[in-house]
Amino acid sequence: MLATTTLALAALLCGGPSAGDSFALRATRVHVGDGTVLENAIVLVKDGKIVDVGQGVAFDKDVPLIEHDGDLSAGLVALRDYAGIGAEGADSTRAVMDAADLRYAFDSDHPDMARLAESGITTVVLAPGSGSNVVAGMPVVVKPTVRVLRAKGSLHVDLSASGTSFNRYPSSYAGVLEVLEERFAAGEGAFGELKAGRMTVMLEAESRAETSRALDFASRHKLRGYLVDSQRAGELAAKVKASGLGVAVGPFAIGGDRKEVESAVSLAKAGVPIGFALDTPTNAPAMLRLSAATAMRAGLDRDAAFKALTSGAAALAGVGDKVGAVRAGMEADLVLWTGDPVDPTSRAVAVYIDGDLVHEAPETDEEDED
Amino acid sequence: MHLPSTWLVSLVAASTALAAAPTTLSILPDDQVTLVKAEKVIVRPGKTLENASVLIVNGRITAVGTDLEAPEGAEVLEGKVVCAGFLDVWSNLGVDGESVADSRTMPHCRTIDALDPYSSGFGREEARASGVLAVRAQVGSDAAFGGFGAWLSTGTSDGDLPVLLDDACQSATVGVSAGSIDVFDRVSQADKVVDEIRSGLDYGIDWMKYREELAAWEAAIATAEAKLTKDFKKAKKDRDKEVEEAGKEGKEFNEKKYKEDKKPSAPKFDAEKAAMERVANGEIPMVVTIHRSAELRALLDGTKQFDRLRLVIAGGTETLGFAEELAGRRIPVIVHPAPLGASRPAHLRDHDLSLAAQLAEKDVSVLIGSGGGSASRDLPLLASLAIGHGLDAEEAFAALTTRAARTFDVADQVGSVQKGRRGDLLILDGEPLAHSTSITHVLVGGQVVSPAKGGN
Repeated sequence: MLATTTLALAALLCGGPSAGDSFALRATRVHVGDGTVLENAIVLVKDGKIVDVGQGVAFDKDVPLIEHDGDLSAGLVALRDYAGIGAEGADSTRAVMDAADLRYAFDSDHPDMARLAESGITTVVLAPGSGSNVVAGMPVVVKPTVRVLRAKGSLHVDLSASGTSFNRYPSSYAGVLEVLEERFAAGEGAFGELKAGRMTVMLEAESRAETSRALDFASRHKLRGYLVDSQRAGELAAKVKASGLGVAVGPFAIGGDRKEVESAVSLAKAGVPIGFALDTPTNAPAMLRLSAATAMRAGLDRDAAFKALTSGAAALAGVGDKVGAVRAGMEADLVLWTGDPVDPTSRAVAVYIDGDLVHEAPETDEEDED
Repeated sequence: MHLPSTWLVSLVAASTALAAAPTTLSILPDDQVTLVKAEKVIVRPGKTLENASVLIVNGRITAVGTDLEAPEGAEVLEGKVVCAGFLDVWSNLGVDGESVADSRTMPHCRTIDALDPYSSGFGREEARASGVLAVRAQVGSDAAFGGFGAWLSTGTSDGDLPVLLDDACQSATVGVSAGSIDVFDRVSQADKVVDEIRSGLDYGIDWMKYREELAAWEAAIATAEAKLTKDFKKAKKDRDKEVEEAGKEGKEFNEKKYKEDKKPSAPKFDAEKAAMERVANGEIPMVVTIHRSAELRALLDGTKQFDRLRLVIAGGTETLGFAEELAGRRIPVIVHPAPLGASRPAHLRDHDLSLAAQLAEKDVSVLIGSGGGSASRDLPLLASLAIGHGLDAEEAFAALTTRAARTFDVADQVGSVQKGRRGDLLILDGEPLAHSTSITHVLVGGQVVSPAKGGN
């Protein structure tokens, strides 16, 4: 079966565009993204978009069909990452850098980008580094190795102690708030967009107290978006839920703080939308699914974990209408897995972004035998 | 593998005793008896029994079979799959943190001297809940020489810390400490390990020579004494005469000296060398945390001379290039399949999650370790990750059970579901290490210690 897949893929690559850039994928299990799993279903792709999904999808006989004995899902989404940014993301010279656009730090050719794609991660939010800024810039949503998906859609706001600086204003939490309130009052640039609800926030808060104050701040300014680094947000699950914000949880280090994992589970159980932060190059891309597996071991149910890796995270990143689900009209960011995507023992064997094959696992001896 | 003969003798004695006592007769009214029934009992990797039971009496497995009846008063547990508890070969649970981080430990330091039953009770509880029931703990885990490692049960967290083996291994690190700046430092650290083993071996030879000389001396003395006793009268007469003559001539009388009078002197006791002698003799394994090619080459070349050495590589980032030699010399590698990123330390730069799979493919004996701390809890997750990167699931299971136990001489206690082993078992609702499987019961010494946590 896998040998057929490979042959078909080779034909597709060598033959170039055919049948109007269409192809069909048939997998043993198709994880649609809304909790349903279709058995032996077909995904029809045309011009980089999904045009049809289902068991009885009809298509022209000259459209190549790729058979996959395994699982198919939308590509995974990481809610915070630093792949390929290097020093571009950290500029602590000024407290507020609201116009800094992370789009210019995106390096599609960086080897870390290829590693993300190989792991089935097809959407990442590149964030500015914490260079003790109150506002470090505008994160950018990208498709690794391929393109920018959404820029100027959100603003990083740091309401944790790391937003202060010992040698320049503001050096206290009160100072941070003063700076922010002033900017909101002036309503210029990104702050105007935030006030108008046209932009979202990536709101950084660490301790429980910081989280609580950040939630108050967000309510005051009617902010939408998600919290990052808030390892105890689950202890305030009801308040987070009421704020309407989501939370980027993790990454959960091996042997890391258990309370952080339990916090994530509490958030999900309270109905707070969650996704996972990844933070390459500090971590390897495998950390994304491992964080989900760790949360599942602490009680997160399978479908919630899958949603946090795909559609849930895509919605928080503001691209839920484009990626994160296997549905007609969505962009064809698809991954063929050896098993359930949330299971760390399964791996990505083929990855498509915008309908293009960006990664194919090298054949192993085992596959040769098949 | 070279085992001390005393160890073998005690093992044989233990199993004979068990075989001699029929199960039915060994149960007394006060005994704690547990019978675990399962659709599948995984005795050890590759050997399973369908619809079988495990009988545990007073903490030890006394019978495994398909025809066991629950004795009266026995607690009966049922489940789908039963297997041995997982073993973490690279941990420090239960050991005082300062001692683990101590960079100046010596080969004769002992991990059991640093036990702190209260230090990581929560960590042990979590490890237990994820099925990790025993760990190899090591003080001085980043020191040049760490000393004797120990096997500890994670079975309790209330001040009692059962020690399964107090001299599980010797430990050294090469190229990971702050002092290993360049390749010359690293290679010299590898040479130092070789030198220490050599000096341990020489020390052993010196003592062996001494014992031989002592025995020869004792024999010579005995012969001389016998001869003297036999010739006593004549000798006394001769001596008296010599004393008399000396007196007449006004000379000082000198006692006749016997060559045998010079008793051989013992070599100076050296605790460090004595510790390394046990390594050189293969009495205990030597775990060397080492990653890069240059120092691996130095270590492997340097240790070829020790035909009884039981080397174990830990970390082993660049071991793939040495796979054939490692397989040939039966040197196991403890991998740590953690998802480390590009900003990891220099010695882990080429760390690859598929290392376990690639080594196993080349017939190297692969073990999996959590790397210490509360990470023991995540050992099954790390094993899953290794499986996700190509390691055969049964290989991963063996690495966490029998192979770990055999490598470190605790196979008579843990690692398999066999008669005589500790009743440290997992009852599961599916195959071990499968992501969808939950642990329904954790048994330590036949007692349920931890119900399942969470939904997965």
